[in-house]
Amino acid sequence: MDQKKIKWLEQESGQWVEDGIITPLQRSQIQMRYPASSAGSPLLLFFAIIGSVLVGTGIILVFATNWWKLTMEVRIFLAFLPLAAAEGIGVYIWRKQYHSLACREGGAIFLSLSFFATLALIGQIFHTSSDLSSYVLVCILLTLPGAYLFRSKAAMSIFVLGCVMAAWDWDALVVLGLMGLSLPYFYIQLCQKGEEAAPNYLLFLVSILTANTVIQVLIRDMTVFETALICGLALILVDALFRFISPSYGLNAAKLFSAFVITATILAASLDFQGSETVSPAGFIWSGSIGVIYLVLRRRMGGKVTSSDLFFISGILLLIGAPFGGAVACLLAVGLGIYYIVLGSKVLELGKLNYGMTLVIAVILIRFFDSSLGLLARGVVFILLGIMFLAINLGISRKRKEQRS
Amino acid sequence: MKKILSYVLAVYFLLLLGIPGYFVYRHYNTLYTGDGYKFVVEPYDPYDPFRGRYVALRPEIPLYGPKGEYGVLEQNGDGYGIIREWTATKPSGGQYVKDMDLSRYYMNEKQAPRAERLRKNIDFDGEGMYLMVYVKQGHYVIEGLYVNDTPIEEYLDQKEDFSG
Repeated sequence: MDQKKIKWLEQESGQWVEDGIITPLQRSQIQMRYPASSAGSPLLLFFAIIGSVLVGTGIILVFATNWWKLTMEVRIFLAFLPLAAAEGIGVYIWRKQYHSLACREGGAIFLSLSFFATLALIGQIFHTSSDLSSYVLVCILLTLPGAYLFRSKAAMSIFVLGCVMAAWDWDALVVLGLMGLSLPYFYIQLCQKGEEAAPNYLLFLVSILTANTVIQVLIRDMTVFETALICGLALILVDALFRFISPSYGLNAAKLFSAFVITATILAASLDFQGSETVSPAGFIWSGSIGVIYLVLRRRMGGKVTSSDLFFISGILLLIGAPFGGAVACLLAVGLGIYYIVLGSKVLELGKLNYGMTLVIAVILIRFFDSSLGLLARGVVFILLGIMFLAINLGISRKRKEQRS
Repeated sequence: MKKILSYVLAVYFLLLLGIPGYFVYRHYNTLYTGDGYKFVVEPYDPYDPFRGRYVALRPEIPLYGPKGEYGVLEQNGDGYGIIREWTATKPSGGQYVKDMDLSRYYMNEKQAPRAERLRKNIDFDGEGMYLMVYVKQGHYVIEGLYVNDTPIEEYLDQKEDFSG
């Protein structure tokens, strides 16, 4: 049975006992019939993803130390080694473990990062002078089919992060086009959620159009940073307006897209820890106006604090803390990441857990490249940590198998 | 459906290996069958998070011509490369380049900052620093960075005074 329904049943059955409809014994019998799955699955997924990310990035860094004393032929062989290994693992997962979410996610991430490593090392061996954003663009375009084939949310997140990186140097239309390539994936995700998929998808497209309009209006006078944040805040406002007008409104596309825009901006701002951003007077007026309308709406709607409120507050905090943009963004990313990992594990919702993990992994990666430690040392530490996570994953899997048998 | 997707996966995996493989073939072929040119350069030291430490280089002669045009290469008496002319049509003979970018030379992370310090310490009138570049039909590959005809890696190993 669906975990949400099990959770509902658990809460309701408690009330039934209090109301005298069923006895505590009957309640426990019902609970035994529909057991809630243990937190093992998301935890396994977490370890598989973190482990693969750490091993993959560790390999990238070890290679980046530039083993110039090796012959060119040996270095070319080494360059292809991680990619060949990732493809071998990919074939195995495709044939034997495709049903396992943890394997698919881990395999797809390893494939993506291995391709990044292979191309980086070839560039290093032959001293190619292409800039960083061109390199990232080639890598994300070629690893995108992997995210689709393995239906991997984490590999798709690497693509989206790459789009954010490409946004700094490439034309806005190129970036929008790149984002468009990820839309079918989100559409498939929405379809799998059930009958609300079609209107949700339409609302998702409306949200993209809204975002595009906001960008086109603001980008001439404002920086990319403030435009993106105001765009995210405007989308949350659109979502709140829908909820205010129709209390039964149950779609979440605008909210999802706003979360996506704000998350991407937070991660982009956190790239340089000591970096600062600027907010123009027009930016303050726009964000202030949206903020006031949102506050009024929320006051009138009442209810407890929602995830929309969290994202809205994060966006506003980042705008206020713009002079310390890098540090504030880093703290926000870690805070949101940990909050959603804890929440996702508690309510057993993979979407929340994945989001939290993606944020934490992204922060690890970003700070990892920012460190003043030597490349080789960082690479080795990351590989060892990755192996440790994968070993824990394997250990838990075996234990669960033993328990089942 | 799964069978079709398996074929797609196989083609995709071949593509993932094939694209870097083609890069390697093209670079390798240019390096071993192309013509070599020297370009005088001056180093400074930045960092690429994915590809590691490199020495950023400023070539002494301008290597960018009008957009989309081909630079016809020639060697002067000392073997240094010069661009004889810029032409809009692809030259039918001789070696040529288009948008040649010689701004990076990847090095060991400990050696790259030392290479940058070289700039302040060597006498460029008496000692030359140049890139050896192989060119074949528009493709080019950097073979090495040299100081006085010695690969920079060996030169830095010999000279301890840049270790600071």
